[in-house]
Amino acid sequence: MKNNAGDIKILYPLSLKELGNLCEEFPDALLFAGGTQLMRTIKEDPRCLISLNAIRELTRIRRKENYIEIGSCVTLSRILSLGENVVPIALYKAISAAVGPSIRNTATIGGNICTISHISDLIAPLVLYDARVELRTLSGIHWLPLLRFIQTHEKTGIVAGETLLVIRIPLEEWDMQTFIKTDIIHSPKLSVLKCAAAVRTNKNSINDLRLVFGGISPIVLRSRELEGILIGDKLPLQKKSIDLFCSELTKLLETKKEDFLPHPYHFGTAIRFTRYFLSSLNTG
Amino acid sequence: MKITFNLNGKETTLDSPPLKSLLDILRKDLGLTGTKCGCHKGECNSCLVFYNEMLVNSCLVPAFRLNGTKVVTIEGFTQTKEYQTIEKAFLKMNITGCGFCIPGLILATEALLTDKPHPTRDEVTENLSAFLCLCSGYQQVVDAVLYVSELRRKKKGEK
Amino acid sequence: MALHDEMIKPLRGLSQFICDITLKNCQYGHIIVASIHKGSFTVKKTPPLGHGYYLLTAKDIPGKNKLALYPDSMPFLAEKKIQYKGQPLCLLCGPDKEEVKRLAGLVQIDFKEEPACLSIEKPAKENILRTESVNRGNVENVFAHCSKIIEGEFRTDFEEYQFIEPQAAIAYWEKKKLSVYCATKNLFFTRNSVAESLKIPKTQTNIIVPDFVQDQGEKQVLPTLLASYAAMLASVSKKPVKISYTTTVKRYPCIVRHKTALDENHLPVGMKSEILLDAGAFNITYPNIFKRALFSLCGAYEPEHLEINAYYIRTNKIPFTRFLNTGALESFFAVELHTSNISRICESDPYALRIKMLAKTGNKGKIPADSPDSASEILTDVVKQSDFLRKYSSYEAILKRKIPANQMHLPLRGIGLSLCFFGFDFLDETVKSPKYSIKLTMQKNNNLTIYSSAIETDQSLKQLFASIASRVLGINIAKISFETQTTQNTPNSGPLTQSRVITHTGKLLEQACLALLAKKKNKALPLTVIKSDGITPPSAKDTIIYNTSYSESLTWCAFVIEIEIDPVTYEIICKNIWITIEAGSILEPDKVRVHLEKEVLSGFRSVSFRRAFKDHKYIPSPYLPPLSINFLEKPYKNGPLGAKGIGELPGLCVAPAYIAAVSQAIGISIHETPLVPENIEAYLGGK
Repeated sequence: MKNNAGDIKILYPLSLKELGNLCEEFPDALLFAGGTQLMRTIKEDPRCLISLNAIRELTRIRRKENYIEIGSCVTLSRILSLGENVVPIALYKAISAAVGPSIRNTATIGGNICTISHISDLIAPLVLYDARVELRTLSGIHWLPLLRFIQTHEKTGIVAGETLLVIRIPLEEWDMQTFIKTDIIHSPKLSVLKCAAAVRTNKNSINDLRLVFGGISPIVLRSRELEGILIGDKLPLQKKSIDLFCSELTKLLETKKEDFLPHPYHFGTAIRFTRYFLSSLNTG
Repeated sequence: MKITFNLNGKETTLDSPPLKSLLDILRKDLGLTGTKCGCHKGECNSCLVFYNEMLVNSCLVPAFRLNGTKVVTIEGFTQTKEYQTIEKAFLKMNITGCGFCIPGLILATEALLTDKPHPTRDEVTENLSAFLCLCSGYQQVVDAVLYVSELRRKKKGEK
Repeated sequence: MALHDEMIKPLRGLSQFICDITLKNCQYGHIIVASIHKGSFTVKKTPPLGHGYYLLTAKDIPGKNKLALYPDSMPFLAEKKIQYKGQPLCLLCGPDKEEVKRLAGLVQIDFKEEPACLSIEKPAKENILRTESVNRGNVENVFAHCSKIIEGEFRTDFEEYQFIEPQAAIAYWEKKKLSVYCATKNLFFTRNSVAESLKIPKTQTNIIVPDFVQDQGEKQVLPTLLASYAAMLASVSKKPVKISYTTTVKRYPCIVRHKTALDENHLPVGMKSEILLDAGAFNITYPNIFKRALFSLCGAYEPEHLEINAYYIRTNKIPFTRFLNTGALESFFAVELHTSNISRICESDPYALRIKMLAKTGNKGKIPADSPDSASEILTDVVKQSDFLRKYSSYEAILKRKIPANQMHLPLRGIGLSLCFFGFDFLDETVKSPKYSIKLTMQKNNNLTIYSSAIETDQSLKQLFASIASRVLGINIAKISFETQTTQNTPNSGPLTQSRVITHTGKLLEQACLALLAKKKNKALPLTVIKSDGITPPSAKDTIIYNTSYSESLTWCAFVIEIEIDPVTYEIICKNIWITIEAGSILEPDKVRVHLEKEVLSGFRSVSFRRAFKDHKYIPSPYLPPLSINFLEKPYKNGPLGAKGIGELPGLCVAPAYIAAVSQAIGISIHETPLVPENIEAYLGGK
């Protein structure tokens, strides 16, 4: 890569307002957060680069009673440092498994989401918790569910003029939450299947059940219709209920197989994960 | 662009293309070859340095992010008292090998023990699992790290 | 460098690898390579070269365009024909690295592609480089009258690993002498090759191995190529040249077929075996790979009636930078797994079967009466250590029982056993009547310097050698240092292969120390001793396959692994590993334990390598439990202080034991690598 200091304009906004002005002035500017992906993939020097890591609104974490808001440029290690009691468990596990400690010190949550590829490990647990994202576009700032963000940006990625600002994660009480991903031990780059699950019970019956899968597509799979099958069921779950649920899940995954979980191993693991999760509700 | 940063305790100024990696600056411009280049994409962990007291892969840190920062490489870290316990432990546990990944391993050890002064065996294994040393097994490295923790605990107790 | 300094330098970031060495006015070299597997090429157009930029093709090589290796050779630069993808065609050098790359991109080459052979399956006759057949006893008769025949086809898959240290060479001329830095394991072979390619005297060429080199795999051919390229470019540019090349260490797929005839007691009485090995584009790895594979093909069991056919097949693949245990790993994988399968099919335990098979081989009186059988002893020991028999039968019993659905969350479990040997250097026929040397100098203050071209840059070997010298000479280990390996200063101690170096070079060192002690009695310090090879390894002349007369000179390892399979992810978790090893006297047990772990990890990487890794070759170590290790010490008279080299032995044991354990856990016989969760899914068929 040929670098010529005179050719690249580097800008360091300190606030969202400044960022907005700069994005307007330089619509084709490359937005640089942690840079862990960009430094690997960048082939040509951009004309203009905007460094995001000094913008206070993007690097703060705000904790409210019902939710936590994480700026898109908060590093993964900073999120982990909040601890397992603050960070929802499935997200905590996903971040721990995503990359090693040194990369976590530089990689950002926004960067992981905006990569919008199968290596965006955090999308599945964030969708599990119904996370929403604040997005600045040319038409202004608005909130949308993360799943919708991924669906609309799957093909394009984050486009010029757009900035992911904040991720808001509702904080709820769960009886059980988990996250796994299939990969080579300690080599997260090759993972494809991500499974996230959470359940809440009330008076010994299922009150809320969530199940999210991530595959080769950046879009995750979540079906509220499927989740609804077991809502209201009493614990311990009957074997036939678990069988029925897994059978419906299998049908659902079959329809999406080609784009999502083409490999029989990942397909089979998704089913086994679900069965195991539901069975473990019975044992507590 | 002109870059000024604190490198191993000294103010260092140089001219660099903005997207040149810190690793290339250290090795090619400043002759500090203790930090090694294995893959240049953040996978091999041979290029670890401390950047504002955080362990990072220097191959992924661009020059334009260096102004006003503090960088410590293995050459700088070996001048600290923290290094002494690590050297003592690594020698005692006979950490031998070609030496390519060892500087990174030492800085990672320091980073781990700063965060967790008394890690469990599992925590050490998990933390160092990204290392790719082919010259030795890792049980002795884990033993060495736990020994560093023990030495520091004893030293603190003596105070 | 003193040993202590060698240990300190890496810790302090002071170890200088080739990539760390910079010379003033150093030029950058670049290799233009073939983009087709097979065919021919012509250089159609070259860009105008600025001052200081040079382009070399095969016709510019002043001397022999041939890297000569027994029994074949390959060109340094292809002349017209291309035999593998990535084959070097031209060289470029100049002062600016980016400009050199740009110019390389402008060199127009016309390729004429031909059909390539990329597989060893059903090889064409003209692609069979070497065949070896063994016929012993009366195989047909035995097969005709046997009680049962068990057969299996065993396949090991492709594996590769990226050198973390960039591979490079630096050459420069100074006062009519050529010096080349390169990370070679055969210093004098490299020197001879470089000198021949430039048509200069060997005495004018000095090869220097840096004090720090990452060791991985065979390092004779690639470093020699790089050294020659750097030297050629330095010769035309009259400036120092550094050339680097990114490549991987490889293992190619191999097929082994075994067919065993059993008598009414379910004991093997005859064997028919076949092995197909990939030589790559040139036959430059024979005899190492081929003979090693053949020697290990029947394992330690030496069947009385035997028919073997072994084929070394030419394919259009890069022939060098192969894993050092290639040949042996594939053979042991097949024979040990086949033996475990026989025991399962015949419902006898794997230990009992092996003991009986080993006992049979000893019946021919080839083992000296007073020399107990290491193989049986270590097998018995490891089985006892691991409580193998009880666990094996428990897991067999669980397998036979249908697991109730409400227990489906319990992990599947299995235990596997293997027995291997190592130490094949006497098979090397590349040098007729080799004469290797080691040199010692002792100063007045008793400081000792060891000069040898076969000292591995990994300090663990140096520590072992220092330990040998320290014990024999009665001096403190801190007084011992090692001279940097250069062809100028160090004697030719032969090629650096792990087990050979410990056994033979170590013995040479011991003898040199004894000679120094003797000399010291009559003469004052400083003193120098040069000891040349007086060791006669077992005759390799008629050696084809293992027989028990070699038993004593080999190193032995028995290995047990217990595994568990996660019921959700099918991830295979190693719960316990036990090893019993016979390697003569164990001089430094702690260092041997570290070495064993390293090799076992290497074995696991081999058995679980996925081809999907092609863009991500930095595979971290798999998690392993601490190893339980027992040593069976039997001083070996031809080894230094009774020791024998272990080399890659422990890694050979991993795959067959691991796969046998998983086969038991899932109740399905597995005959191939890799073994990864996806394969378990396929074997279980989504159950």
